Amino acid sequence: MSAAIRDARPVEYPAAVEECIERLDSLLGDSYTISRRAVALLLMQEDPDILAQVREREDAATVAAVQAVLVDVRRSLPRSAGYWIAVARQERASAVARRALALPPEGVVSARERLSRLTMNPWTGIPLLLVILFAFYELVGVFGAGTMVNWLEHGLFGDVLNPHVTRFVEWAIPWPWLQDLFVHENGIWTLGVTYAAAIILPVVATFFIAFSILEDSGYFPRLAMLIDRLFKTIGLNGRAVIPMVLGFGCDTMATMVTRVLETKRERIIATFLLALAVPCSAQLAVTMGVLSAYPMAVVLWATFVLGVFLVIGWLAARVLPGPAASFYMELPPLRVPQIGNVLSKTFSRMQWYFLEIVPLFILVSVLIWIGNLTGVFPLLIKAMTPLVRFLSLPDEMASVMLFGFFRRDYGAAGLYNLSQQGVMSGRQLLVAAVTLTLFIPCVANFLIMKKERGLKATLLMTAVILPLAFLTGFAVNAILVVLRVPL
Amino acid sequence: MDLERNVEHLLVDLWGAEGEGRTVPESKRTPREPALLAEMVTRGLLSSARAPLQLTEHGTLCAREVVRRHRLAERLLADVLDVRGSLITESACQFEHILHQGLDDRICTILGHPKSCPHGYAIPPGECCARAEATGVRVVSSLADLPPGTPGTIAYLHAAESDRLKKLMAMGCLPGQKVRVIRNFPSYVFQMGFSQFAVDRDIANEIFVRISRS
Repeated sequence: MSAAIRDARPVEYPAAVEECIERLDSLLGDSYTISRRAVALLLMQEDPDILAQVREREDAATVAAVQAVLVDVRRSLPRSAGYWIAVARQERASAVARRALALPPEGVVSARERLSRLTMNPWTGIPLLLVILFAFYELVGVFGAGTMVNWLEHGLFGDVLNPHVTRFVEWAIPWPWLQDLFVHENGIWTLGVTYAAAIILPVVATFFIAFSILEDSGYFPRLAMLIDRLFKTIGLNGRAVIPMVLGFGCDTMATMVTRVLETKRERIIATFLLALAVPCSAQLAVTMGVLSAYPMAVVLWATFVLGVFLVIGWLAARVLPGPAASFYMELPPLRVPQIGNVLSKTFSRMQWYFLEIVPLFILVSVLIWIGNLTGVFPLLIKAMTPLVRFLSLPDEMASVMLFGFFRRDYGAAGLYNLSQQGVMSGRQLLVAAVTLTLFIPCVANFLIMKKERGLKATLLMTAVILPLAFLTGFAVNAILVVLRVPL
Repeated sequence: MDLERNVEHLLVDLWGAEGEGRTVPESKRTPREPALLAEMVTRGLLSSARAPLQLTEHGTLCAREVVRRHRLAERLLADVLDVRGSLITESACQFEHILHQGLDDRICTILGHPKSCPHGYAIPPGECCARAEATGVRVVSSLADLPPGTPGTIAYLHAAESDRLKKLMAMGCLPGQKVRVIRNFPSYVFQMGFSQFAVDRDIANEIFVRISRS
């Protein structure tokens, strides 16, 4: 820096702050690695580390005196000393910058900036959002969940690996009931490992790639800005778009990502809405597959689920105590994502995801094994039959719903078979799809909810979600019957 | 004249202690001039000349007006005339006397109904604030009321919660920074330095901007 720009004078703070610095300076000892003035300033900014250091190095009387000074300055100034310190520093920094920087002329709007503004104007931003969602769906839904799952699940695992593993287990373990733990319909290998590697892997990988591309482009903060007002009505703020978008990939992972939200209230509402009304990629795939013959039903399904999301979110925001969340976010410039960054992010996310999720799938296999072995599952299915009839659905739906909770594709396959057999009408399929979407997506999601929000909150949410799913299914059925909607 | 100033000073100090619960030194609240106290009792501002001094209802109203005029004067000096440091308080003492008979409300409107003085103390709101009057001439405005494209400089922040103030500080959103609103719907987007920020209405309402005339 040239001499004309350099400014070595210490920053001048308001009189009350300077006075406090002097008082602290006279109290503190010499054992700090930084100057006493710096220690005093950090203390006034309520830095927890420096307070710990002072506690360590000074005797009790000095610590008490220091704290008395800090209480004094807190009382004599209408705002925290930290604020006045920041203001004074900002003033000095701006003065230096004014001398050192030649600013580009104002009023020139670059092409990048123009695109950025288009994403934030609702008239252009919403159509743009729809285009992005469509591309997202093509990559994750069609390529990941369709082409790749098909190849891995049926090709690699179904035809090549699983027969060998099954033969080996049947040879090594003579008792069929124990063989079931590892292979056959719900074994650790055939359910846990196959499910994780052949179904979850491609869906999650393509989803994370698409997500990382959007993240690196700087689009999410703009989407957050666009959607903040809507999210405020359901007790969240624009920041919550990130976990919500993730939820369309996997609600379990999205529930973990609710950690980015600032208040406990927001985290509870977000966890609840994710479990209730944000369909994960598996739920989406089932719904689209089953309802594909009835385009009208897809539209109605989306309308009902979105309706529940907004109405229940609105109610949750009213019921849960606590202040409304405020929204503020920096908007980074829009950038073209770099392939290297996208891949390394995708890789580390998948690693993290598999370490957290795969053990849960293995646990699920064990649970199903115990459930079938002890006869608990057949009993549960019997208990659920009246509920299924309440929705005017065939009895077979009971097992679809129960197994669907433990293993999504299993429920999906069951529902798909029912629809193929033609035992269900379009109306019944729509009712089943809405009810299954509102259910907690899977047992992994339930376990993560327990881990993140605690057992009590999770049981409470479940106690709301289960009846709500059935009642909504019932209401949808009643509406369709009364209005004679042709499906 | 001196008497008049002393009356107002005592009103401000008593207001600080009673109306705002601020710590005002005991010595300031119990001056030793019997003539001043007697005068104030005669005018119906104090209930008695003995300690602890207590404002009458009329006295409280007067004190509120004095405080309002004084702090508006400080705002005017700081935001419009660019006066800095201790000069603000000194000049404001002189200045406040001309802000009588509705002039305070007009100044308040031009300044965008400020909520706090340059030192951060609350400005008691006037009738004009309740009506949220706007005029063609505005010098200072909250970021939320600023039309997109208008250049300005952050004059001050009025954050209701210290938590929110910390967020603004973390964003580097501090007095002296140049800002320009880019969008005000569905949320507020503004350029500050080389960065852009999106905030909701609550936060935009707390950032007061001195409008630059280009």
